Amino acid sequence: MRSDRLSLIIAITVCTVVLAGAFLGGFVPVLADLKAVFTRWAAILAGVALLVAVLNLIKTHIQRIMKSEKGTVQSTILVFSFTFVVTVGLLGWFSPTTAQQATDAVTNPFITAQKAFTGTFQYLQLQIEAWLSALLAIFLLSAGLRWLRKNPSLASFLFILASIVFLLGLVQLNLPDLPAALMPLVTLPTVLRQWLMDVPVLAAVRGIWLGLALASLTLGVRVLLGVDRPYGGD
Amino acid sequence: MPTIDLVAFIALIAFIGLLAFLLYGGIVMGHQLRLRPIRAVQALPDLVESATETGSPIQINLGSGAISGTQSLAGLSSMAILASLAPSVGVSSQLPVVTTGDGVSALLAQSVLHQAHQQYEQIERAPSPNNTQFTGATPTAYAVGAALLTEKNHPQVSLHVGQLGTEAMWLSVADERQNVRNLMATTATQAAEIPLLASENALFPEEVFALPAYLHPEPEKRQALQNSLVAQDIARWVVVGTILLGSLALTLQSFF
Repeated sequence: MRSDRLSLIIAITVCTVVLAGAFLGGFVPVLADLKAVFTRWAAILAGVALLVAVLNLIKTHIQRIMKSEKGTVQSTILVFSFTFVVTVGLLGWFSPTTAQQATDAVTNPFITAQKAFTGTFQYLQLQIEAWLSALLAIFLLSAGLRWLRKNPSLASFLFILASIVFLLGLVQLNLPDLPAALMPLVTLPTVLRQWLMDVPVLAAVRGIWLGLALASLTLGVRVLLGVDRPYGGD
Repeated sequence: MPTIDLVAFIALIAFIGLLAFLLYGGIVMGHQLRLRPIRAVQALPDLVESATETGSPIQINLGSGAISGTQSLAGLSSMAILASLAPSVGVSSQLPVVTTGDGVSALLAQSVLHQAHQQYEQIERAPSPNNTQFTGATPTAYAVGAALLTEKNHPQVSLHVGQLGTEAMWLSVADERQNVRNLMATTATQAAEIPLLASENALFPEEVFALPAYLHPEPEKRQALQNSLVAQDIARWVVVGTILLGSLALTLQSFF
């Protein structure tokens, strides 16, 4: 039997069992058990695949350092950071698990390693990602303005208008001395922003979700029927 | 089994039946469909040609959709698109460089490139592990890694197609700095507007899933994929009809 035919049979069988397990697991417990087993296998294989992908990434950067290509400094930082995080992560794995052991071993190098491991994510990775995400707001607004300049259409005008309303709507003004007659003017952007979120934006998002759900379902069924074969075979 | 599960199960079986009928029956009957033209898809041959002329590799950024996670279908759609694109983008003197933010997707992308190399004679070079790059495990790390790769490789064309959130802006900034022409499409609803802002060739989320039906190089397979779009459209009308009837029923209920 050709290997692509075998892949197809395995894929269709596993898909059918997992799908049947999701709907009929309450009636046929063996289907629910099989679904759990296959899902666990998938998780393990995904972990191994991640390891392979990371090793390939490190290999690429080591090659770049060896050949002194452009970006050697970044590659060196990446390889060094990877080695550091993996080392402290592995050392931290051996740290004491019970509270008593942890109290007894304040100077335990394994506990220090574990703290360094979590600290790397908490104080470096997460902070840098948060900083980059905050910067994105500026890029988005400037991209919107460029879009309006390049392509002055109704859509681009509405995008900029909505962005301004959204930003103004987020501003919380505290003006106790303002006459009551002018108060609706101050709260208008907030009310408008809420209405935009609750009515047109929600309607559009639901429309996109509906389309995406149907498209995803079609793709899933195509894989189930063997029309799409991302696992190989023609 | 709760009633809602039973209804969902029956609906799913009906949809599978409809899709199977259109996939196999439609091919037998030889129905030809006329698809709605999409501007970004029409621009694709021109993008590929410009990369082929200069001999620079095309960079395909598939995003961080994990095959084994909740975004598995977005990840699978990326693979289907790569399989459709591989024969055309693989004919330039350099093979495409594919980036992903998921380990399983990286392995599958490598497999798709190998498969295309074996299947299509025009792809002379076999892909190496460097043709598929895992650039980061989190969306931001992935985007920054892919952007750095753009700066290093100087591709003529970038195709950003897959599960890309707001971090897609970083990819667009890298393209702009390197004067790279691009096509952008994401399956992430929270970033649906990014392609419009960041690329002249933008696609809406739902169109990403339809791309293989436009691009697949084999006519028979392309027709099967187009027939699946018909099933999708029929299901859409059924869902829209159900929503409208449900709304009407609820409105009438409030009166009586």
